[in-house]
Amino acid sequence: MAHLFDANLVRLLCSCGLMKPITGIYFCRHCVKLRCSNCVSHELDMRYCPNCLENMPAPEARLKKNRCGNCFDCPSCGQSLSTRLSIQSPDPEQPSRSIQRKLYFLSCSGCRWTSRDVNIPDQTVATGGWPEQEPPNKERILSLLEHYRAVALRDKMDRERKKQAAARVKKSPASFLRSGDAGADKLSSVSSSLASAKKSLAAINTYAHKGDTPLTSQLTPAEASEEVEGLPDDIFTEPVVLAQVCSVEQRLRSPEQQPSQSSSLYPLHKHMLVKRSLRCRHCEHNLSKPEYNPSSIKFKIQLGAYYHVPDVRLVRPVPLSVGQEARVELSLCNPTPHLMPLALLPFLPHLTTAHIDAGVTASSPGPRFIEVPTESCLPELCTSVTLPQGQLLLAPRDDTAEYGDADAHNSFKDDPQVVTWRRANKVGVTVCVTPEAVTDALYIGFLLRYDYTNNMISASSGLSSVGPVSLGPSADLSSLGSGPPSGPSSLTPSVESRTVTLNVPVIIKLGAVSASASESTA
Amino acid sequence: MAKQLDPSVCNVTVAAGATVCLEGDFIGEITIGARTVVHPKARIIAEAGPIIIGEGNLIEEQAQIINRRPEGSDDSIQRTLNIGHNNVFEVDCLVEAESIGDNNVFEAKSRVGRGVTVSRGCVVGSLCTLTCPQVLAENSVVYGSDHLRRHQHERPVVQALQLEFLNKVLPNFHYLVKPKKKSAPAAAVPSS
Repeated sequence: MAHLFDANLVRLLCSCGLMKPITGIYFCRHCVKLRCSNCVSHELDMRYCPNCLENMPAPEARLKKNRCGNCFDCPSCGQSLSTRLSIQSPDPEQPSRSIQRKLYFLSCSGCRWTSRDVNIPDQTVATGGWPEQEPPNKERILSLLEHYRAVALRDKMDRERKKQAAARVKKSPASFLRSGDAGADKLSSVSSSLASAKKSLAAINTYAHKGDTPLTSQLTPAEASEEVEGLPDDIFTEPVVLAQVCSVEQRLRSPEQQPSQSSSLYPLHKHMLVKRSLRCRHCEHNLSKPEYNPSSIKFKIQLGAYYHVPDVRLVRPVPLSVGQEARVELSLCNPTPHLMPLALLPFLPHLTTAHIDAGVTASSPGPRFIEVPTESCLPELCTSVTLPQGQLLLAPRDDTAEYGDADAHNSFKDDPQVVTWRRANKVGVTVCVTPEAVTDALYIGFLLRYDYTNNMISASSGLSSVGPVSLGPSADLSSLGSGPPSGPSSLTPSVESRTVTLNVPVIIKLGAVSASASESTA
Repeated sequence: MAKQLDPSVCNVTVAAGATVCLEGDFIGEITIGARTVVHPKARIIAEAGPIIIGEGNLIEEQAQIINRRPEGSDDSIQRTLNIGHNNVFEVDCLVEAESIGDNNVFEAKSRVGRGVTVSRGCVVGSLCTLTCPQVLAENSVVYGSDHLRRHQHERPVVQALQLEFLNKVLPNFHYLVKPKKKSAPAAAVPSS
């Protein structure tokens, strides 16, 4: 049963040319195209701590290096640390006696690391108050930061001064008056411009005073030395105890300290996570927008492909052997509340020129091609694939269908050659595959052509008379019933329904191919 | 009439104060110390010699403690598996160790193979497998999918509260193996 939920078996080819499972693909209703994480713009909505689910604004997060102030990760194994309580503790004055008081320490449930291991004193409060380690290069980094901030300020002032100087040149008549004839201020208009010139000059002077002074923070430049600190004397004589030496992962988890001994591992502040919204790069509409609350897992907008594109699944894995025809059963599921005509067409990815055969009808689909970007990472597809011929109809999704008597199949005149079974909004079809060579993974591909009914709230009027939006070269030439838009064309904002024919390339991984038929049956 | 362990298969000696459920699988000569709790579906199999379990141990459901005979070895050689005090054998662990000291924890689904000597205060993490003959140093922890090892400062705490609770609760719902009376060993098995 695991194959039913293995999302990587059936993958769709995104409009950018990447293959992604349907769960990783979005559907832009405005462009009527598939989008994936590769071809949308990601926007950071908020930062939050995954442990305490606390929201943190951006400036504070920058100050805290995108880490939570209260939650910690284990420095030894990386799991979340939990706060433990111990009631009894030795009296600080008389170690032999113990007194009753609540003390808290951090403990890892994975590797049993505790804050007592590295002699961090227990805390009397449950949260906060843990001692922080000072980064060894903190002074130097702070002085560097200060220095370069001053440098940046000076550069900014220089730019300002140049700008002001350029402005002064433009106002040269006024400055002329100021330096020369004092009696010329009879003209009130000139005097006003003089005043502004004076003001600007004064401003320049204040800048100039600051800019001319040398930088207040004198930076001691870093000195390179050829001498490297020698190895400790006992490194060749003492045996290495692996349990006391940090691994590379453990060292790099705290880049400021990089402890080499596990006795100097300190708890690490937990990294923040982000909630992000996705936006189509072409039409700039939101494809995914989460709710703002960190504890909520819902979305305000979620245009996932699994709400709009028929879901193709492999019903059961089939044994494959070279030269023997295997019947691969697929299920197609309609996630939309609209009737969906659908057909499987051959997918020929390596033909770069799009070729459209206008005379082909749906009942006898001939070869049709789709353009695929060169950057795509398509696997080698099996060529001898017999797809079910003709068109089939997918019933609309009905949430009540599973409770009632499902006799919906009576209303569809199915060709038994095409449809093997039909249940609510799902149908089963069979694809015949003849593998040609022994491989670890056989891929088949086809073009899923279906009519998608797009309900859009249109703010403007009179646009609904536009014909079906085409996707792919052959979309508007399709014979799959891409008729005129059925939405009403009125002057008020209305829900506009238009039917579009879409072509979605689907690539299915079938599994390993064995050498011969006798071997697979044995 | 309370059920009895089959005396032809096993000889379980239980100290007073231990809670040993009768539903467990017991084979061979087994001695269980005071305050030790053995859950209903634990398996203790003393195939290659007696198993002596100390005090205050907690043997949870589906834990297996096996004193297994090496393949192809002489049947006559007896080997005793000594288990110390205050060890915890969590759910579905498999322990075939050479000997076990005190205050060790065998977490859920851990496996300790033959030839491993577990000293004191050790923790074998969940799903960790130790098969090569070795001696686990005191207070060592084996954890994670990569079987990383570390040395901990303190030994694991004794599960005193849990033992106390189980001591109270288990007799309400399960038949227990009763401590043998010294005076009448024959009276316990009159029918056989």
